[in-house]
Amino acid sequence: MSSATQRRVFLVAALLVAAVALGVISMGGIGENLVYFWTPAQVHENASKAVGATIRMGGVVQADSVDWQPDTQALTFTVGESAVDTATPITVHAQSAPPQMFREGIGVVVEGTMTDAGTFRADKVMVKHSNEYRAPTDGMAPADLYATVEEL
Amino acid sequence: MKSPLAIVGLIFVVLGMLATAAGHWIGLFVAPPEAMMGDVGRILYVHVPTAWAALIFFMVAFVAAIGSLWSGWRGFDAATTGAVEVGTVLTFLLLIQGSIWARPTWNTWWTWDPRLTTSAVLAAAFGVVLLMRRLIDQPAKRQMATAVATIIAFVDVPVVYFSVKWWASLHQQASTRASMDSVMGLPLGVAALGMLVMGTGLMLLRTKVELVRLAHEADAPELPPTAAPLRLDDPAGGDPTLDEAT
Amino acid sequence: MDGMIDGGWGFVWAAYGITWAVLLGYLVTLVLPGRLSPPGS
Repeated sequence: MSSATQRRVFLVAALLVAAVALGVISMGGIGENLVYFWTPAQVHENASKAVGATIRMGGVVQADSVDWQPDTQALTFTVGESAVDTATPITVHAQSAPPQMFREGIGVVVEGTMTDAGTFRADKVMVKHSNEYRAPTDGMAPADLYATVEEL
Repeated sequence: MKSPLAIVGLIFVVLGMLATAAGHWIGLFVAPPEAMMGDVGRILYVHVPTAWAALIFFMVAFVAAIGSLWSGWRGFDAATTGAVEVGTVLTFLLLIQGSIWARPTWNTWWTWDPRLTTSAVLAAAFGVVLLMRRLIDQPAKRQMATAVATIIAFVDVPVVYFSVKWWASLHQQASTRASMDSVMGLPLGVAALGMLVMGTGLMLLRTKVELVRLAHEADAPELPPTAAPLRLDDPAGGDPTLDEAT
Repeated sequence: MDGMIDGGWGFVWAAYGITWAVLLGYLVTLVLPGRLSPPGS
């Protein structure tokens, strides 16, 4: 086999392997291994597996559900599939101060385990930021909001 | 440094750095803080251009690798190396920037989110391509291995890009014009263009460096890997070490 | 809680500082003598 032929055989083989690999990945071939978090509904579905095992649950902090006790460091809130979830919300207990962006209506991913009581005991509370990037509105503008913005 | 490739490369680097610096300046000192992330949100203007540039240079590497295998031309081999190395440097920077950004916003330095995991795989995969290249002495074999490995590693590029769409993730979706105030879009666009031009310049310089190395290697193929002039100690005597000197 | 992240410029400077330092350092390694032209020419 001449070296040019050999190179082109390798080219076709490499492209084929790459295409097949990408196809398998995009069709969900490794989906199970890349499940980063379960939603509250999925936690309910997998209730037997969720108790005792370390899992992540992602969802939205429900309105009027946040209770933070600075003296005991007890943080309690409810996570639902969406901003208003009446079917499958799960109550989360954590022993840490809420992160700065934490608030009602924001997306969170909590790491921990389900308890027999049907609540989630979180070791870690992570806050999700949406893809929205907005200048502060007047109501929440910090005192030092840059006056130069108008100059653009 | 009379080579046109080196001169064009340097011009691109200088122009790209000026544009990147301008975009960063606007992002840091003129644009407003972000409504939720505050000043920390300004990391956007360095992180997103780095990500775009990294993925684009891996695309360039992919095309160069195909050319390299098809034609066997040494220039494609050097260009593949240049694009892979610049992309890899940018991907490592991307991971560091992201980690720094994640701590105050997400409340963690690192998590095995699909976007983060696939990005780490990207850095590792192309890092391996560069390492492998160093370990093969025979030029034709090295050219073929580099190109094949680049094509295989490239599979992860679309996976990184679509990871936030395919799987549930902590990392946000890609921003759009609608999801970003125009006052933030301007410094982002300027910095992204600057990073792309700067990266292109760095890639051209790295390609030239590789071409020089390959030409030198072809001129003197009989040189042993550890050439005698590199030895600092006296070959006839013992093996003096730093310990003995102190 | 329930507000904009305050402070945090340290994170911003770290991210920009590392990026510029690495890119400038990388540039320097590429223009070192003997790299862009054959040694001895």
